[in-house]
Amino acid sequence: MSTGMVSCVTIVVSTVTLIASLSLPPWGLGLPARILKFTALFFAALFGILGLIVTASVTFAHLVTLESLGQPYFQPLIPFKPGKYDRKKRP
Amino acid sequence: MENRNQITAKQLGVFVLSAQVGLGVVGLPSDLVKEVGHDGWISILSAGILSTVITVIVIALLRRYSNQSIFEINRHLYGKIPGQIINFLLILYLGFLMVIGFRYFTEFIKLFTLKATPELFLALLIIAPTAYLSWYGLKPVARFSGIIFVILFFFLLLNLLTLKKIRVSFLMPVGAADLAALGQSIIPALLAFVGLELTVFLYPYITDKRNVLKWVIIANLCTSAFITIIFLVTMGYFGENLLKMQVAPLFNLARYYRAPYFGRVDLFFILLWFPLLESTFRSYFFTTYDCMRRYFSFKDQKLAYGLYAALTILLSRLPKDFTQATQLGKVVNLAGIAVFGFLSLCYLYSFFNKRGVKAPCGKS
Repeated sequence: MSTGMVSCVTIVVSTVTLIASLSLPPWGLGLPARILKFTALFFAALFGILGLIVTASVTFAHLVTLESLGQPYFQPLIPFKPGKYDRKKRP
Repeated sequence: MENRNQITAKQLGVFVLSAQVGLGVVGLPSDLVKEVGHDGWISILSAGILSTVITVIVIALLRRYSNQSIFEINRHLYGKIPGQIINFLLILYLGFLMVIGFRYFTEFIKLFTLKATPELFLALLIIAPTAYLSWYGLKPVARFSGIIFVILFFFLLLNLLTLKKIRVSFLMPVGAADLAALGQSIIPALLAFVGLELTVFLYPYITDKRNVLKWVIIANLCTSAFITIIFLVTMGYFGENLLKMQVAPLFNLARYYRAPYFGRVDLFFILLWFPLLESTFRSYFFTTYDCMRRYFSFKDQKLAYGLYAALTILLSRLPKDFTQATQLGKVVNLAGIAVFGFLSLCYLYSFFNKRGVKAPCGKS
């Protein structure tokens, strides 16, 4: 900090990004996340924070259309089914 | 494709809620203050009660005809050709509302975030998630609308945070406006409730039809409660004179609030509002296309959809500026009220012309 090369916010953002990247341990899951990251970066560079929101919206929209074995990808959050939080009921 | 359109009554409620809350709320407090001063919340509650009564009538109409949308009902009630003409007018209404809503949306984004970006680029950017999602049918659109609860939570939190600075004296005395002014102010207040009429177009897609009334009324009451809270907080925060001059009091509330660590709280809230504006626009974008698809029976769905999206962007460019778009917004308001009135008349007329009416239980 004494050299004044980076601000406190940059340090905080870098640290949060690093910790967040560790939440995706499988390599296979990390690749699409990386592609999405660069897409978001590209649109954020073009349109600022609105570009980021639009990228997030399109990604979220795509995930909402997905179904896995006939079940919505975001279930039990969307559609909201609190009973399905119970892990004992899962196969 | 048809299976992708099947939704539950609960999902329809969320869909209606997202169609109502979004565009109408942004400028409503200042519009109401101009009409009735600090008593605008009475108009909102009155409009909420009126729209709930309209909901009951609309659902009663739909229940008289089993599993049919307003298009089939019109054909039964008014005959084949007049019914088709009325259906076409209803599609025009949906399209008009959708296009004006889209223009409003683009103008807001330009006004609050990207002032220098050409509007056509903004329009392309905004339509992308909507066009993508609507192509997959009503089910994903309704699922996406679920995001509204997260956004409403943050906005209610903002209202809670600004509670300390509210001056109750700005809201006093209660009932100062005369009855005639209050009655007139219900008309602009009803703009926030435009969206419940989507039920009549999407009714055949609902799987549990007996719960429709319950969920649409819940959606309507949630809208009433949210808008009343927004009005009371913005009025208590800014006061009558300052509120009159604002274009978007809801965003200004975020602008005036100073939060620790966050530099631009307003930007955060404007961008949080973005998916909600998008949801309002998407509800109409999907419904208009779906109605057109049923009405015109397109052979090449992909081409028709592409043309429809392109036409939406082009038509939204027709109003010259923000002022003209606002004036057209008032026409949308009146058109919405006309549709409410038309649906209520249809219900009354269905007692005289019983063609196509579902036979009551026990009769063949």
